[in-house]
Amino acid sequence: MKPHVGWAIAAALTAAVMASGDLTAQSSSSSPHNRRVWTGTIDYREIILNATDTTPIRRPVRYFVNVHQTFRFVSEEVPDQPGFKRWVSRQITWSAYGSSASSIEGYECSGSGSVDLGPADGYDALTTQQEEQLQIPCEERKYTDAAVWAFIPKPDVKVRMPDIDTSMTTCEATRRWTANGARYTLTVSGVQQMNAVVDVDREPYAAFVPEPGHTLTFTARSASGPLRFRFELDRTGTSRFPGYASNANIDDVFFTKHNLASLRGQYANDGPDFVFYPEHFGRVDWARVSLDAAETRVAETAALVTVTAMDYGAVGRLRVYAQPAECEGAGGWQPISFRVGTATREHLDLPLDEDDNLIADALEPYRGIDSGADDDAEPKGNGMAGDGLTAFEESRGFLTRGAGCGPEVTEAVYGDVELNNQSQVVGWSDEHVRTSPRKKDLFVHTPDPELALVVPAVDRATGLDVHVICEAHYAGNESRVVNFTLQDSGVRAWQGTTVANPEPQHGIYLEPADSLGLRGVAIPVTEGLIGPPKLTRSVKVTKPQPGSSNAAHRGRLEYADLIHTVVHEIGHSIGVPHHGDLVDNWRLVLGRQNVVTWLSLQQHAGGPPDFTQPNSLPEMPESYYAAVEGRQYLTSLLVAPGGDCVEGAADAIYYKDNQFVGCTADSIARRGQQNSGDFECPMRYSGSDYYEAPGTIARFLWTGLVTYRHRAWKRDLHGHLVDAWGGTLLKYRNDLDRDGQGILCSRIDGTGINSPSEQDHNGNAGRDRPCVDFLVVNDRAASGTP
Amino acid sequence: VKKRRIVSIALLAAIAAVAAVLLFAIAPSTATKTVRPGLTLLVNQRTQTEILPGTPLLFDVSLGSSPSSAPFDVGDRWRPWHSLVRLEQVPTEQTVPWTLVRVGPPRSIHFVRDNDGQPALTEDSSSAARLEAGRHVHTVTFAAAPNDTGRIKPGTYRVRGVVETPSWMYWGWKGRVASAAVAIVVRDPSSSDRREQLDAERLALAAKFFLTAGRFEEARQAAVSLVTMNPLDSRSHILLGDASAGLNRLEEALDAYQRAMALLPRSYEEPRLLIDRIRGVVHAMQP
Repeated sequence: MKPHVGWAIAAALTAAVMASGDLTAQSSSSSPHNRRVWTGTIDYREIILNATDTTPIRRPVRYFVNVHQTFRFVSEEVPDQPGFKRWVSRQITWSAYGSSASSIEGYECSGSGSVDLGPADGYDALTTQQEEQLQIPCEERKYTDAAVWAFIPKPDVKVRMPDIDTSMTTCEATRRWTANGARYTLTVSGVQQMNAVVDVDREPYAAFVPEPGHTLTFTARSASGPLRFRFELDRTGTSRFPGYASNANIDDVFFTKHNLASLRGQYANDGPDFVFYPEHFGRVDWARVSLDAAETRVAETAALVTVTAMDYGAVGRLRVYAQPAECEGAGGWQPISFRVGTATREHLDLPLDEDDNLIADALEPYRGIDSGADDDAEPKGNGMAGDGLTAFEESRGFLTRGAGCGPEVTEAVYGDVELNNQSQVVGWSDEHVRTSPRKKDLFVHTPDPELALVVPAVDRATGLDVHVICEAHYAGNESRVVNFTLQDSGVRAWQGTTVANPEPQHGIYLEPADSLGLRGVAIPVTEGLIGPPKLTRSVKVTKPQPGSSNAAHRGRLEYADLIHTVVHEIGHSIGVPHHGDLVDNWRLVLGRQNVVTWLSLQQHAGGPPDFTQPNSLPEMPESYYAAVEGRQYLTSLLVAPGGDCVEGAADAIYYKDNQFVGCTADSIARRGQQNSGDFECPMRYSGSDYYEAPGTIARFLWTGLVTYRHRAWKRDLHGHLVDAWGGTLLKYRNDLDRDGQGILCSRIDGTGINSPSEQDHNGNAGRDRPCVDFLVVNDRAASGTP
Repeated sequence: VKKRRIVSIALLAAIAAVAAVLLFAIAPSTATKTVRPGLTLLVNQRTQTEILPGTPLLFDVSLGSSPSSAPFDVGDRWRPWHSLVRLEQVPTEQTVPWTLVRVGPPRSIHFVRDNDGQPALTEDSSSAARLEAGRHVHTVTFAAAPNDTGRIKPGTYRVRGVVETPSWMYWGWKGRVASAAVAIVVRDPSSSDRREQLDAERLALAAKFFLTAGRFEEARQAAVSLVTMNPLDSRSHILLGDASAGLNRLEEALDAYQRAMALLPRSYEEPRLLIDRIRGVVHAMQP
């Protein structure tokens, strides 16, 4: 026998076997008593906004119910009773969640299951035992120990029986209706069971992480002959989170950057987070494609569908239906199941989320963490866990600054991208990061690229994860909300699962300053308050003036100083005060403060200065200085002789009645104040003119006019107004001091120039807690503070 | 000899061909998708500004890269990166309608960490702008002088920075990168309801411009006018002090700084830069 004849026989035998299989499948689906299969869904979703309890306080109550059911009932005719149907199988599957709670008490109901109610004469006939089986358990919750009575409505969570109109004809189009707030669908076909399934390749499914433009592909197969398939992204099971990341709304660049150009103009900011992208569906093979449904044109034994994510935190539910050949062109769609490994599911959750936290299991750092958790532990800071961002928001991620914050266009970047005649695209170089749920995150925006260059230095000093963002990434310098997509739209939960905190989290606005006379300053929203980022309006930092040939104009400021200044001021914007100060309920409690010309007049009594008072003397008409609105101004401090101020020294310039009266100074560092403590702490001040000798205190002596004896010019300048300070004041060793360049101090002990074993200039920090114990990032810590 | 000459010529031709291939094939390949330059433009340290005619404009054009960018260089010793920078109007792409002069040398700031992770900034003025992972920023400052901007007609001007390599430049990074546009709103002095505020801003920026340009007498004149206008504004006195110090009029500078000290708005921070200025002047006054 020739080989090809052998192959032909083998092929014929194989075809015969397959045909017999098909016949077997078809014959098994024949119905001797006109069996019909009734399938459908029941969805009940209720959210009550602005509900309150019945106490006089009328506490807000959050009421939410979401019940999803599917059913598959099988009926058959009774031969000797025309028109009478007997129900041979009644399978109901449900998942239900409901919550109704105020801040003090409430109810939580949740349950899921599947049951076959078995044969009955009526489709809705239930025994008492079956009614109990369909109950959803509810628990009463108390969130306070106080005995408070308050009526809170119990969530209406129950499994509803299908409403079956038995007059419906086989293959009739699916009926959809709403009754009592629940949405019903009903389909009937004559085929008992189609042998079709969607085989899910576990490996890519498990590895899938939602990201705009990322796809997953599935194949539905029929072993019972050609079928038409319909794929649906369940509207109630597919998220529509506003934007596409925690801090990014849908904009023009979104479509270009993620190769979704054909959805431009069709896809809204709150569109579904999983879609059927039309470009993936050819017109020949597909009869209907919308964002949430796709239907094959002709019956096939297999159909391949691609699902596209539109959000970094997308959650979806895919359902697949098949239409038997007998119903072609009409209804009769029946759900088919998914096979994932050995498990069979009636729908497929996207992405794989076995820990049920709305976050892809493939994102290992978030595995097992509740989506609403905000308990980042590191760095510990003031003990307030979290960074104001839920685990869901952190996993959904943030856009951070790429290069610059405006439109960028380079041949290099756009070499292989069709831009549809756009010459520039804002945000092209933005980069997406999913932040750690264990480490606190801080977001900083600055329009100045040189300041942006320095911001990463904050991470080493504080232990935080610090991200540089563009203004658009926190909704503007006025708002500064970094998680605005959920916050601004009021979305706090999805399907009863918390996704966002009750309050927004703020970023920090870092801007270049000009001619402030300060190296930098953190400007509070409310004067005198210091704490998490929401309390700081902006951080201003003076940059060097590199273009100037004028040393005075440039000052001593160099680019290298910027790191210290930025870290120091951002330190204030996360609640860390100077080494002599404390924070009480977010109010700054000042220590004695270094004596400086600027504040001296408020420091005469020895206590903390009063920042609210002007630094002026009301009446000194004989002053050297011309009056400006009747005020006179201090020339400088005068350090009285004693200690290191001796006549003949370079700074010994003040005379009165031809007698030497003291040395000039602009600052006197006081023990336990700004210059004290850990030498390397970036919150410590460095440098001064004089310091208090250990065990002594600088005392105010007098205010008066003195003569500045200028030895180089050999003349006296009269009428210098000074504040004289005495005590044992020693010359500050500026040559041994420098800006702290390390991490926030974890001890109050003086080191380096402040160590008792070394120069002991300023001693220990003047408070009982080191800087690390003040650090706070979570805006919820200051909840209620304006 | 003739044969040797032919071989030499052939060798040279081969080397030239290889070099040409390298220039055309390898150089463009450095411009891969992982190279992500970005350009930022600020005008008077902001992304938009509202001015009166006669207010100088200081444009800082900064070239940087994304955190994920691969290393690459823009420009070289023959064609420094800052010579590739220009400003153009949006959307016309015409040159800006005022004369721009470069102020100070271009500067390159590098963010580095030592083995312990200790961060530091270093500064240089290299011709080739090194860009890698967002750790370098190269800035050049252009200015339009007050007498130039005095001729600007009221209206809104949108300007962007552009860095573009010429077509013949086949080595290093090749391409074009543009910044976001900054907006310059020029008000008519006779009709602006913020005239007083904008006039003070004009004087302050003029003083700053002249200080930066080392034209201290003009800076002093602007600062004196500003002090007359805003005697209680510490910034005016600081600028006057800076100008006086530039003119070596140290006594006046000290006076101005000390007035500024008294007028500083309340703040949690010490006026370290002002104290530094005073120390600098006092030191200069010493024998």
